[in-house]
Amino acid sequence: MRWMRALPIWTIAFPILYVPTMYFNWPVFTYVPQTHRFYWLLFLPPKADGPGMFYYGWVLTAGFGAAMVAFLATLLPEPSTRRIWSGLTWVVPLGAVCVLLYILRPWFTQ
Amino acid sequence: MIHMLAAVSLIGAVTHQALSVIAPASRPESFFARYRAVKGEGYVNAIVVLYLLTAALGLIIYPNYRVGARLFMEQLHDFKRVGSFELKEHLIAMGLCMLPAYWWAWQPAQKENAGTRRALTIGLALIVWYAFLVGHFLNNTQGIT
Repeated sequence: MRWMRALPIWTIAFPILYVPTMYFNWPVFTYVPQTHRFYWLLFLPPKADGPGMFYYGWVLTAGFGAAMVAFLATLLPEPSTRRIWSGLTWVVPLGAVCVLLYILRPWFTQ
Repeated sequence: MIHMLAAVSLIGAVTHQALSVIAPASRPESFFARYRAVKGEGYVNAIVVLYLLTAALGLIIYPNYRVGARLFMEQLHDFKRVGSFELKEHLIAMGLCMLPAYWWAWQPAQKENAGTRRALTIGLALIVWYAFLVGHFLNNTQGIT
């Protein structure tokens, strides 16, 4: 089945998109929990409204991007996607976790 | 409460499956051997559903943490705990991204990808354990409902 080939591709593409999305702060939307309001893309709420939440937007940005990559992969002839090493489905997320740990290190060193 | 129950069910299922791929037991002679002797295939759909359910419930209560427990910890300059939750949210995202490949790798047609199946299962189990423990410890810091 063609769509089955898209699943590992989605898993490989997601972390590659998620790390820069999180690092450069590219959410599809921002949620402000104190006012219960949603805003398209990046929105920095005024101090009185409390903090904005970008995590949901990051997951959606990376999810949409990975879905597009996976869809395009289904259009390729099967032998070309079959050549992709299946181990990338865990190596790429593991590499992303290492980069995320590096980005998050200030929390653990201050 | 439902989030916790889903997380406990998930941790049980994923630990059974992970141990069955790390050290499969052919003859269930002891409690530990019986624990490892399960058929991993039978857990796949349940783990996918439980992971999605637990993550969805976690996303619903996440704003309470953001404007409650997190601000409380920041005021206490307890940045290591805040960082450990930051890592948790990113690991949950990585787990979400691994789910499709995990499900694919456990299909009967993917028998030649046993190494990938093993790595994805162990990775998912580690993510679930980390998320469970961090969530539990932070909930003890200040209740998240």
